[in-house]
Amino acid sequence: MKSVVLDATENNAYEKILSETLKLQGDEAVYYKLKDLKIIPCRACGACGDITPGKCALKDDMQEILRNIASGDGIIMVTPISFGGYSALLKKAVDRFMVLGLPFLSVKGKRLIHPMRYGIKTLIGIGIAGECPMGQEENFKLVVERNAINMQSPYRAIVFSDTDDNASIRLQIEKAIREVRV
Amino acid sequence: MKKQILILNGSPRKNKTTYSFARTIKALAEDMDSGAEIIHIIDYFDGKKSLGDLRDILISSEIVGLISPLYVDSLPSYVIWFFEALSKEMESELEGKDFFAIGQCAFPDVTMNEPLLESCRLFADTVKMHWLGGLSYGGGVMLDGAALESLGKKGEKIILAFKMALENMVEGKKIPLRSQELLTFKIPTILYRPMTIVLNHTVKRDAKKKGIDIEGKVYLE
Repeated sequence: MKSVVLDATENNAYEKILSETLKLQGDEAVYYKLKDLKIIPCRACGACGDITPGKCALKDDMQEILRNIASGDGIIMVTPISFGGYSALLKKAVDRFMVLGLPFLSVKGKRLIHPMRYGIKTLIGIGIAGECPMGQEENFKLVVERNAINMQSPYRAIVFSDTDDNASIRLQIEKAIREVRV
Repeated sequence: MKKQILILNGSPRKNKTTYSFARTIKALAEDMDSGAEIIHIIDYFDGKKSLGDLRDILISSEIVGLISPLYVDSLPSYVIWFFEALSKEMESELEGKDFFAIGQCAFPDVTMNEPLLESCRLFADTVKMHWLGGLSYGGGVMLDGAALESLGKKGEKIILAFKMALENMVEGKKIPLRSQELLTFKIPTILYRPMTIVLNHTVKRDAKKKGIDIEGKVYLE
């Protein structure tokens, strides 16, 4: 399986753990350290709807990321939790996921959704909680869940604190990767 | 003057539904003898304006409100960037002021804005602002930026919802539940399937007319 990792953290703490864990599972990991990339935020220009359907008009590193997501099996996002959601750095990339959906509508449960253009991908959201007010962790998990519903993805949302040890982080990530594939 | 209100437009566009909501709230506030100013977050992100320029505006505002579209289930990246910057650089200017938010999404289901509004509440908590509550509007894409006063009954209900919210907020009270009730446009879920058949047919027909392939897997080519 091929997993695309979008890492919006400042340091390399998660890169080693995720790369090793995915390798142990026999996966191909395409790892993106977002702070080193040029990603332009979505301007809601509408080109991906009418002019070049399914293709974003912005020319930046997101084009390669979208190609790998399209041909991959899963997405793993790692981010500091920002006001109960993704950091601005990760959200710049996630806002560009719009092109992964088709312009049609279908009904899932009691919700309207867009069918996916490139099939179903697994989704894992990893949030790193700093000193944050009550409710941040719950809202972060809700954001991942809502993304998963819209992408019809098997998903897991995990939150770590700065003080969690690497062994525990590794175990939880391994578990999440296994579970989304069942 | 009752209160000075700063309205933050969270959309990168300055002429669509989010802005239509912002201009209505500004007009309503002025009708109530309050002052109101709209700023576009995108101008700060793009560097056309600096956060330093915002300091005086923040100091003179008593209520700050964000109006934002929903992007992929939460706040757009620009707004998160703005919140991150404000919490680092302007916490003392924001502390103690009132804050509210309005989220608008394309789909009719107002619950889709829940994570966006909760993020706004958490921002208020982080910078020690006083959270006055949030409002959610579903189906914003169908308004397509139209002036609310031109939308007949639908527009009147939205304006009334905002008016009630403002009347409470300038008195230092939370947004009343009635405002959200007025904004909630209930489509029975049983109608979703027939609705998708009609809309999907329209999308396919329009694409055929334009001669474009809307189902292409462009990132696999």
